[in-house]
Amino acid sequence: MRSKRVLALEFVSTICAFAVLEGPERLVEWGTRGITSEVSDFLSKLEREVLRYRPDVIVVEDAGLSRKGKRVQDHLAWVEQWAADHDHQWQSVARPELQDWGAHLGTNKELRASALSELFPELQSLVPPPRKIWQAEAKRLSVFVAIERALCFYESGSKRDSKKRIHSEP
Amino acid sequence: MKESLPNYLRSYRQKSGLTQDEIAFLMGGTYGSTITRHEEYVRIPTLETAFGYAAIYREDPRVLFAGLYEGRLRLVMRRADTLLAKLPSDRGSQIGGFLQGLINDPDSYLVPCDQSEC
Repeated sequence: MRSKRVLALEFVSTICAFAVLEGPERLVEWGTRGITSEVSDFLSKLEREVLRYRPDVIVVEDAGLSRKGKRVQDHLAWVEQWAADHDHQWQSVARPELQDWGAHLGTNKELRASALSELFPELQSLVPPPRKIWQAEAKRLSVFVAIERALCFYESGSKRDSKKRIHSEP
Repeated sequence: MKESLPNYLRSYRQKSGLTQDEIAFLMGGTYGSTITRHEEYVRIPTLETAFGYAAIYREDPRVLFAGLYEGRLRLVMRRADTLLAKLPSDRGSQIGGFLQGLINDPDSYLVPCDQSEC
């Protein structure tokens, strides 16, 4: 039986990482796109990806429980508004929910990325080397977060109602 | 999932680690721009090229071009139904069973979608 096609998004200031999955074991595509704070430019890019992958559900971070800055909050709000306007199903997965789900993979993003690359060997080239304390986090790690978000959705998604934000208590 | 994507060429290429130029070279071409057009669903590859992809990725073309295949299969089923309805009785007795088989028992690759999932 086929699963829903999910387009999971993860926003990090100037980039948007995405992952397309057709079920928890089938990773179709992944990558990053540069985004600006210009709403029309952002929405045209989002529309292009949605038209390309025709997802059943768009999975994003829960803006209400996100600890990210205003720019990301704006992007999340635009996605939700756009999805609602265009009658696309969307789901938000809250940060605490994602952390609970990913706990078995590792305690930090690098470890979880490494664990995910064992699940999806095609991602091995994306796993960054261990970073030094003075180095910034590799932006490509956000692709793994997007995949985690999609997997988290698959695990709990069937119990959810579409177009409703699911809050987890922090 | 309502229907598959037209093709999964980019997915398979990313898994293989090959670049578009390398795929183009394997196909007997020079530049990866044609591969881009196939991957972006802008162009449908020729049958020869489709078999080339199948050989490179070692995958059934029905899987590589799942959306295209499903579309064709649906069209054939619809047309078989129409043809069956307008066949004269003598011809119907000859090929009616075959057409009915196409309609009732399509290729098992086209797995029906779970209603609760879609």
